[in-house]
Amino acid sequence: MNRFNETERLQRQEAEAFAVFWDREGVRDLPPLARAPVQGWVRWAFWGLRAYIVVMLVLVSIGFAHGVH
Amino acid sequence: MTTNIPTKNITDTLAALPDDQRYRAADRWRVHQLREALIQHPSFWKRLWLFFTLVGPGILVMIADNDAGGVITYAQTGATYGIGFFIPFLLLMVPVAYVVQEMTVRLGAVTGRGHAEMIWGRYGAFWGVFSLFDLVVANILTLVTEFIGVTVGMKVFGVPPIWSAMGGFAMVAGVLLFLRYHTWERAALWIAVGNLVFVPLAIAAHPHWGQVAAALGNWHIPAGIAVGGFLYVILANLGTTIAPWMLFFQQSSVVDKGLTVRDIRVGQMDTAFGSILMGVVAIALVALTGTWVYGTPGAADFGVHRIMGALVHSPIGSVGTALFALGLVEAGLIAAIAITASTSWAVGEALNLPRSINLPPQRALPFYLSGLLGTALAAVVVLIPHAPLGFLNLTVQVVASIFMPAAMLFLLMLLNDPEVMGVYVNRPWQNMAAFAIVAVLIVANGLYGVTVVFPHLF
Repeated sequence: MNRFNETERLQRQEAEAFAVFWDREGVRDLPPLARAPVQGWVRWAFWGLRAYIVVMLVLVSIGFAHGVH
Repeated sequence: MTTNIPTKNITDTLAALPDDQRYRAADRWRVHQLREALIQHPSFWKRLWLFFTLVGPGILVMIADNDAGGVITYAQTGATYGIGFFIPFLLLMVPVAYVVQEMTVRLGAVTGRGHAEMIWGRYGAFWGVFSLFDLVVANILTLVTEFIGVTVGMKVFGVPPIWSAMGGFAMVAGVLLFLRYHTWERAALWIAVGNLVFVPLAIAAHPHWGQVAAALGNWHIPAGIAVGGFLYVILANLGTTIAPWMLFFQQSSVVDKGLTVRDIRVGQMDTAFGSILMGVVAIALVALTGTWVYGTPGAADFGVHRIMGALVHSPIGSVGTALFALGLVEAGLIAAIAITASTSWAVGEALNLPRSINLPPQRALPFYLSGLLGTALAAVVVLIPHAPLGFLNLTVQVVASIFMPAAMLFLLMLLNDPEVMGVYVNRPWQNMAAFAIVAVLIVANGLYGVTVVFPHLF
């Protein structure tokens, strides 16, 4: 009888701990992902990125056309 | 006796979840139990066990960064330039890699989303497609170099390329398809341990440690060298230290593992530990060939075969050289495992597919196939007679040089976005370090491009 009570006590403890865990972590509901406002330095960064990609593509094309690395 | 303490049935709760969430929740429940046990009865061993349970993404990404191409690059760097310039340079790469990769830990833990998903969601489909396309192309080309490493390494043991390529692919596919995340990660970590073989090899080769130490105190750019070729090697070393797939891999790995903001600290330690291991292995390789291959006539043009041929005559002998070959195989294999996973995760996030290594193959076939098809293609390309492997290797470096600044820029924009990161946005020192790295990347790529177009300018 004592062993049965002890088992039940441990099971209850585990269930309580799991409830705490579930409340804290559980299944993560992610908020919807919204588009970022492109303004300020971010806008300049995107234009810089576009320019960089175009320049690099031109250089690489020339490089491959010359057959050198 | 009644109680108001809430309880929850573990079995029923987990059984009600989809497969990927169930396994992840079970893993997180185990972490929670370890944390509670540590709080109730603190001990060093419990802390260590919790640490080893939580690490993985950082160590894996850094060790996989010492891929077959990296091993060959470092070996050739040592053979060409000796110990002088590159050992301090590689030491510098350790914090550079940490600064970049640590940001992906925070981003993944805070948002619960992978890198491709964040780019697509925050910056739109054009940049999402751009990033995904570049990543997939670069990954497939990189996988070709991984299978080159596997076949070259296994050839030392007399295994024909077709068997080593097929075996390598089977291993990558097997661990991805039939293991759930936790066991996949543990299996990959065990494979990653093989990367450390280069360290005892370097020690056994009795390099000139005085020269290694002197390199730190007397750092200078070697005189009388071709600027274009030197820049190329710098870029190759930089490119092999931080590669675009690493950003996508570690963030998605953090998400699939279920790490949260509570785990950021351990994630940072994981990344730091991994980057130190990466640096140690890279330095070991340069010290090994810098001592025993550098100075050999024609060493600057040695491929990995001739480097291994030279190492046979070093103190490590034929046994050590065989271990070097095994290390090359391991480097190719661990990188193939990581890169395949990064492709699958990125495609899954971009196309909003069920995407988790916790999912059985029949529930997430498009997710798994998106990575494995590229890997299979790479394995086949390596077996094609007279395939232009050198050209493909060059192309991957070119793609990475275009894509890496873009990938870094997206990372920085996201890490500075308070709407995304909340209180976990980049601190000023992190921005200074990260923007400096981006600036160096852009300048190095630009200079390299100039030497390509005007090779006689310098």
